[in-house]
Amino acid sequence: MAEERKKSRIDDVARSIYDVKDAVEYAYKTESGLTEEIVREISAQKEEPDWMLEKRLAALRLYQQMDIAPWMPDISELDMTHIDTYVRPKTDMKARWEDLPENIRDTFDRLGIPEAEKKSLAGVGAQYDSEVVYHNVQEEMEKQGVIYVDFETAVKQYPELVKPYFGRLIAPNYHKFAALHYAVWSGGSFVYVPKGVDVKMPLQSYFRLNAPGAGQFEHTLIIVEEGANCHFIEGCSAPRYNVANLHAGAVELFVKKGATLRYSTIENWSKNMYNLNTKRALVEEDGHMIWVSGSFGSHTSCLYPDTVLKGDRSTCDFTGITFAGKGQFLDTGSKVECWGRDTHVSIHSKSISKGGGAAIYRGVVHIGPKAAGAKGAISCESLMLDNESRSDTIPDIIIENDNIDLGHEAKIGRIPDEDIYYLMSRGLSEEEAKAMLVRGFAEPISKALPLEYAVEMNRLIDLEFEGSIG
Amino acid sequence: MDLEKVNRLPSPTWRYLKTNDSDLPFRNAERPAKAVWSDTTYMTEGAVLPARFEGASAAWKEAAASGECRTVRIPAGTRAVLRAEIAMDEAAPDFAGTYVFHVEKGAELRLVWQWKGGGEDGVCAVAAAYELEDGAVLHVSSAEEGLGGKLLCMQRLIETGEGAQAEFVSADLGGRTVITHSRGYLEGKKSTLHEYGVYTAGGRQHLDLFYHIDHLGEETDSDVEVKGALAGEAKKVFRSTIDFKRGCSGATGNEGDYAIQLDPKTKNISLPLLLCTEDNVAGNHASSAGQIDEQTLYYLMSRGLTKEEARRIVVESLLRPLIDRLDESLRDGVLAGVRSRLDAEGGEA
Repeated sequence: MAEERKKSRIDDVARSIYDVKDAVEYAYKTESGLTEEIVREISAQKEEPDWMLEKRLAALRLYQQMDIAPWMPDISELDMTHIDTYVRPKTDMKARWEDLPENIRDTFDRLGIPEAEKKSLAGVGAQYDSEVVYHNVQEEMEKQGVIYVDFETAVKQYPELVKPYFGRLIAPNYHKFAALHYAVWSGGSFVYVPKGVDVKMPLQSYFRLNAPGAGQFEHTLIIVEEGANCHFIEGCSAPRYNVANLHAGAVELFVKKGATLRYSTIENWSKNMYNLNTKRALVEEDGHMIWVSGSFGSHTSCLYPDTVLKGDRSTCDFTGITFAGKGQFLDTGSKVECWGRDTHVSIHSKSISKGGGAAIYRGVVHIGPKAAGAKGAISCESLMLDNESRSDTIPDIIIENDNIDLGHEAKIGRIPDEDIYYLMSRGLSEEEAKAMLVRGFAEPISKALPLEYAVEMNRLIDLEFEGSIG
Repeated sequence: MDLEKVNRLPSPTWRYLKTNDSDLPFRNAERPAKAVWSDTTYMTEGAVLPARFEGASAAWKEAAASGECRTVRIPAGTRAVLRAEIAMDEAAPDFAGTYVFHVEKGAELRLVWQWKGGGEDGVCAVAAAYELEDGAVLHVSSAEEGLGGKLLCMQRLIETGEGAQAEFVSADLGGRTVITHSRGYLEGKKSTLHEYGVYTAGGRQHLDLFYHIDHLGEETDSDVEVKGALAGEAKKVFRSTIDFKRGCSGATGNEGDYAIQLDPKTKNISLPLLLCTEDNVAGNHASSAGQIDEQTLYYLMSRGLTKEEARRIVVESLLRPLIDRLDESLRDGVLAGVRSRLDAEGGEA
């Protein structure tokens, strides 16, 4: 009788730090649901000009008209009538951590944000529920003309910079949840890097959603001027509740001629979160857009950073990993549109699914009729750790030009037995061999992150192995 | 001509890309030609397609049913060779047919479809179910010649018993619009389904190729490989799905889509899906698209070939391994068809 095979066991992402719940306190909160009155109320609370209110109301009408895309995962448990779209914390924005209320300060301390700021960041923004509560940037950066402020401050202080770009890349009709975003947006970050400035240390915005049943709809806008260079890190988390939370932010990135923007995300929302976020970048001549994306949390995610390579010789490099555990449906991927000549695309996506989780790669590379000389390489690898889980690869490649060179490869499978045997023949235990192979699988992503965030990611993936191969 | 949605992707993606299915011309076969069969020993009148036969669309399935309907049953342990020649002309520019091929336990069928043209605006609608019992072997070759501006829709469904092996090789060289719809169910343990396709498309041709294979049985194996060249304003859509269903432990599946684009206005769309709910499988996809490598051309020209000759050799070298899988009786004709096509358009398919 064949010996029963005992499968590898790989733990879910360790969440203890993220699941600590603060007492739910707020200075102001809208009624649950989404109505014209609520949208007007949010706008009034923020003392916005009429044009912004009109924009919100138009987006709301659009949201009400648009349907949910039929290919999307099941989000029927997300009931907008039970979502609080605006929750203002019991503090205004501070520039010193010690000025924040103790519970909020403790939350960010646990997440290691103030410590990271001291060691390795040029600036930090921290959002708690619907508003940014902390924002600070190194003096040196300010002297160079770098602007890093919360989005609402930017709207008031730098309208000449914000207005031409706000909503330009992600229009409210981009999809239903983009429309929702524009109806109820609140908070977020604004970054402006002047021509030729190299921001040597990363800027980081951290988004924390504490209130149960709330939504977070922050707007992030980054403009990297000609020849400038910037690394922006986005982190997000929330404690777990037994009601649905919603995240529908929007990120608009403008990478000018010869500029480079690296946008890194470590997303660790709780498993009651619907993460329907939208990100889009426009890259001009000789510009470089680099995405590094780790998706670990949420109940359901739909996230596909979209890059428009408008300029000649512009490039996009996407590296992403998705870890879907029990009860998670993570539909993630990447979109790239090549418009300019001699553009270059590199997509490297990895996923791990276990315990009934579903990890879906969904992507598109569209090379337009005028994008002669485009080159690209797309690679998708999926690791299935049991047969309760699901892993799908859904790429779409559209080529409207003969002068291109594009290769695509995808692989689905589990840890090969022969690799384990080989490593064991070199003296490793089975557990060590499996651990090495799975970490090796995730390594391209951790290598793309700054050291301290790679450590953070490794902490997130708490791998344990046991058993034997029969 | 009416438009009909065909070849719907089993797991759709963004609607704005308009790649989940194709809106293509449709009409019924009004003046059908007759198929000439090399042997009718195992053939009976009438054909009942399996209930799960969907085809490219309901209308196309119905269009195929309006023509001749035949069932071919190859008895257990028998080896049979069948050849169907369908020659369309001005008087009978269309064709329609529905077939069920049942290959019993341990039997082997080698089937050759040969389509010959005539009559610019013809329609050709075929629906065929291939049912393979345990240990059955099936090899199907199909080639077109001179189909000019015809509208072709070739639909099939394949079901395999334990250890059964099925291989399909087709060469699409003609037809204004070519729709291929292939649906496979690898049910029996260790059964295999291999699909190979070659094409050259020029002018304003549209090729819409759909493959969808479910791996249900343990240690099943599938392979989908399509290679071709596009010129003029030709468009090719490749929708292929390999779906590893829970329980198909030890299964392997590969998809490959390789296209050479010879003209700036060609359009090449590729959707190679891998769906998986079983961990002990190996699924792979590879594809490439682009021009002929300039250095290869330069090398060949430095050996005394003209640019057109060099391009022809490169395209041929891509297609040849698949052409060689066709039934021997078709190979020379297909090769000649590829060459004349490349020559006719100055080396641009």
